[in-house]
Amino acid sequence: MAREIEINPITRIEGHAKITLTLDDAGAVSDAMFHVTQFRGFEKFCEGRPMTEMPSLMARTCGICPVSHLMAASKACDQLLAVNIPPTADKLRRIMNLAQIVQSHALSFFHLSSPDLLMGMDADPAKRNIFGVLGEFPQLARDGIRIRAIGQTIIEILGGKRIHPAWTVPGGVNAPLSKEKHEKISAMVPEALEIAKRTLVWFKRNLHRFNAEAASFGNFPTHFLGLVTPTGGLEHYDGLLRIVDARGQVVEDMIPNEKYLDYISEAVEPYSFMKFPYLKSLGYPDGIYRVGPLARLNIIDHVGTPLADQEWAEFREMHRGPVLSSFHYHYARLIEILYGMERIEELLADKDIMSVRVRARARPNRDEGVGVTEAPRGTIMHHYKIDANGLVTWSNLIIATGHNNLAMNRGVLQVARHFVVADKLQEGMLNRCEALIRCYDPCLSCATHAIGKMPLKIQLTRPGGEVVDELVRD
Amino acid sequence: MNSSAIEPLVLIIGYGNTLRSDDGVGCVVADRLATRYAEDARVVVEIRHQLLPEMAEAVARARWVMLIDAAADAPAGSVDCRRVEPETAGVGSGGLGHLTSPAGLAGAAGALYGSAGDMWITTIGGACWDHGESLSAAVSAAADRAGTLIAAWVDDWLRRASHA
Repeated sequence: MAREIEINPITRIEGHAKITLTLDDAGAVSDAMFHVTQFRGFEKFCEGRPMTEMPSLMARTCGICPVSHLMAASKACDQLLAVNIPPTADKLRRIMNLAQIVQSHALSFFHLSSPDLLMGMDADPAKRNIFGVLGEFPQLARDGIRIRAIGQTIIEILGGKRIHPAWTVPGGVNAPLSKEKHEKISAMVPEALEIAKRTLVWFKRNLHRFNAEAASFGNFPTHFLGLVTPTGGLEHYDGLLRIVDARGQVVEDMIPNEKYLDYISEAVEPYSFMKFPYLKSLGYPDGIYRVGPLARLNIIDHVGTPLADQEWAEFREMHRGPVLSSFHYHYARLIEILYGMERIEELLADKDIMSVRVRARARPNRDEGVGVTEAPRGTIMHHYKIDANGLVTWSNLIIATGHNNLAMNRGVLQVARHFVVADKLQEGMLNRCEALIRCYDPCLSCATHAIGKMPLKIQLTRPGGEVVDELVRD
Repeated sequence: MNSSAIEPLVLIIGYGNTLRSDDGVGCVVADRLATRYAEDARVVVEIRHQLLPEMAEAVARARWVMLIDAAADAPAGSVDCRRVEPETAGVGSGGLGHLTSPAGLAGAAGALYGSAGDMWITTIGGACWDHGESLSAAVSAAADRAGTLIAAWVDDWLRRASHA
């Protein structure tokens, strides 16, 4: 008789979700679903708002990655104004965007995922948490807190505050970089680089301990999507879209941002409030693809900074063609932290970085604008249409975590089949299902609100609802 | 926010959402205390949306820490002050994630930097959590009382430190 295991809620992610595992008559996992259980409807409520409000309005859709929404919204509004923003504004926006990526990756790796990596997937849950890490690996924990603080502080220095900074505006930014702020940011870069380097050394030394997870955590062929520079380098703020297949072949390249709907469509499923984007050319659900740090490192021809280029070359040697295991999102994040700090250092050294020309002013000059940028978790797309008065009449948002929705569902199924033994509900195997989701660092806050201390409840039930086994984590 | 090369004796962190009426009372009280101690480098006042893991280092540097927050589970307008016991273990994500709890912050400061200071929290029972930037009447009055109470504590701490 078919049965179900429910993991609800999933912990150490951003937002509210649950996993349902369906077992067949023989007790084997036959299906798995990742449900996003809250609805918010941002696309609808921004209708009727002035386009000039969109950056600050969209930043408030998420307290976790507000900078990413700010950047995408500002870029969409730049298009509505039909302006090229001043070069210095472009560079300053890049610094803030990279700082966001650094701090977010640090939190994902050190705070949310390190308990699994450091304490082991089967460790006692009473120890497999951040306090276990604090107790046994205090230097790593200090590094995590410090590098996140550096990223947050850079955002605060530039934007005036860490969350929802209003500094990025349509046409550029609203204040240039002062000498004092330049010095403050520059002073933090060497420390951040050292932390990034030693964490990579530690991670690579310990990677072999997770061969089983690397082999089964979302390790399947998919396409990959992300932005690249015109020369195929790593890009987080601007650039053109590239799609690479599971063998590493570039199948679509140099796609202008505003053409994204020619390549991507969105499906809905009754069991989740999160949309299921897919590649039009492959149809639904075969058009599965992944975005985010793993995808970005899989689609590029080079990184673009010296240390990160070396690390990237080593990373890509793990696999012939793209690195397919979602477990390696963690590895990719560390390389991107290194890249982020190297690139911030380069941008700060630019001769025009303190120019006072930082904003292009114009009235709306287009009816439609698209802004695409790379959030920590992947590609983020904002698309607005406005009327003659500059009021938004329609919007479409495709968020990074949404792109990965199909892949997360398929990954959960793979992990469950590999690790879940139906008759034995054990903490370690169920945690692996959660840990798979955490590889993607999903930010459901763009569709829900922030994390609390989540209990975990897993129920094994018969179709009639009879509970035959249960695990509760208070 | 005050800043100084001198190690602060007292760290005050007021936190909450100032766009949700009484939820912002911690920030309102902290803002008044920032004005009161603006010239005193021994007192640092921070105003934040929420407690964050990276505050642990600043907490560890301070001798006394006072957190100020709104409380949804207390009578409207009530003021309560109590010591925070550091959290040393926990299951799940509540300790340190995108935000942290007072006990989690104290625990992290102790585990990572060797000291959690002497941490206290003042909570003020809220009445209205709707969108809005002003406090309800009961909470506004409570904010005055809380500010006076905390200032007396801080002055006492500073006196004790100067006599030590």
